[in-house]
Amino acid sequence: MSCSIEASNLTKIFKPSKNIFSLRSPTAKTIAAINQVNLTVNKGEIFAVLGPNGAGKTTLIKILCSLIIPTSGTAFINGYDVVKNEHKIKSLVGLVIGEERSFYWRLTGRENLEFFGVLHNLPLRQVRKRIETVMELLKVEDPDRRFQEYSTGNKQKLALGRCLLTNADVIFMDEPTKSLDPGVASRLRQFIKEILVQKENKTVFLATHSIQEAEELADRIAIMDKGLIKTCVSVSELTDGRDSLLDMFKQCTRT
Amino acid sequence: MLFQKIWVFLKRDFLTASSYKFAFFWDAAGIIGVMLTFFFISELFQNTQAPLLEPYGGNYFSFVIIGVAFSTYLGSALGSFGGQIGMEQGIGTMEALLMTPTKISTLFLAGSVWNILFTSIRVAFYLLVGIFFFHMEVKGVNFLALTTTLVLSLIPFISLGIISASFILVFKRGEPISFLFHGASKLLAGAFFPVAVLPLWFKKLSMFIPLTYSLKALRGVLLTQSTWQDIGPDLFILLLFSLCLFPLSVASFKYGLKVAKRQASLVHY
Repeated sequence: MSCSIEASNLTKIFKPSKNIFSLRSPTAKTIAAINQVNLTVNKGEIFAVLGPNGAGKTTLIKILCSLIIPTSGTAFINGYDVVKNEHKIKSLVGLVIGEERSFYWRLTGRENLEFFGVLHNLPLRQVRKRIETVMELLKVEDPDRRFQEYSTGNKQKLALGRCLLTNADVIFMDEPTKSLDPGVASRLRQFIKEILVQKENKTVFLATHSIQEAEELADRIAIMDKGLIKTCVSVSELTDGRDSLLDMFKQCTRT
Repeated sequence: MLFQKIWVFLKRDFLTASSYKFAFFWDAAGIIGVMLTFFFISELFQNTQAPLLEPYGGNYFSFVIIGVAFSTYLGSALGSFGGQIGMEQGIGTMEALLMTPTKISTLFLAGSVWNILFTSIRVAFYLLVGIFFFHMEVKGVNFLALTTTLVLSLIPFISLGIISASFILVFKRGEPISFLFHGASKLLAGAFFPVAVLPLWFKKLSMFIPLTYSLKALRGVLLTQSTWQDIGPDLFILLLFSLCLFPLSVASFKYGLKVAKRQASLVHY
């Protein structure tokens, strides 16, 4: 099976900024947001990183999407270095940000998708056709209303829709079902599993702090805490009945 | 593809700006307010001799409106890029933009078109209101010379804007370029009065400001029917500013982006 994502000894250290004009003594400490992370994700796999708030999941995703430069270590997407081949990486990956502020609120859903679609190097005519397909597929309500008037569920669907426009091989999702009601969240998970992965053979890398979401979606799950990957298990190992994921999570994140 | 990218940026900016309808009204009202102020100041000195205005046709109102109108290009270019970055960081779309495979230079170019277009409309509004309602005197304009002067002025202005944006990327607020070049330019480059009024050491400082040469050439083209030979030296200096500042601005922005990515502060504001 070919490898889609590969990270080796990936580390990101944040040092407190040295403000020479500050009269106060520095209080912030150096933090290893991610520390010596090694992982491989196969093509067509759903890989979940599960961890509490501040575990380093978002930092890891942003490094893999070339949005943050790591302090040390290497990472490759489909064989391309995330630091050296930034431009290529951006045409390979899609990022679904759980942050609803990543759209223009005074434009409609359709206008937002049109804007981002063209910036993904798709001709306008093709973007318009794809928008219709994506809206239909995700059942986005009122595509011609301003984004600021959308419900949380609709905003999240649009974030996924933006990613689907581009035909990215590898999709990163940061808390994709955050603040969605259980019904919408469940349908979105079903869509990710059945359409994105089983039908379109995309690789999905998911960051979540929901145990249920990780169990329901992923083929393999890594538990992350304080920048370290504490363990990585396949869902089949979990169903063999040793420990439950909740027990493992508690063990790994115990302070 | 570039034109489609420019088109979607224009559409985004037009839709956003037009959704705040009242802002358009107050912008136009502000322009008329400025013009009225200078019109009455000019009326005050109408019958006095001002030898320093002679090289510009002798009419203070025409002189100052050109200074005020065209220095808005500098203000707009300086504010445009930094403002765009600040806005994208503030509303949270910065990462979504940088996740697209569109080059940063294209994002900047396409993202600045609306601002340049809108500023051009404001400048045209200044001139039209000035000519039709305040008897501003504009003589036999050479449009090719006017366009060349504008283009050669915009490149250094835009370069300074990109350098200002690099500061915004790293420091988020408090960039020094606008302060140094916008405020100081209006004072030293002769937006409101001829540079000849200034003391010698101010005059020397004004030689390092692109707006000085832009305004001199523009006033020549619009007010005194200057020939290519007359404005040639000013255009040459503007070209030199362009050749020095543009590569510097691209390098500074690349460096700023790298620092922001190292600090993981692309979305901070």
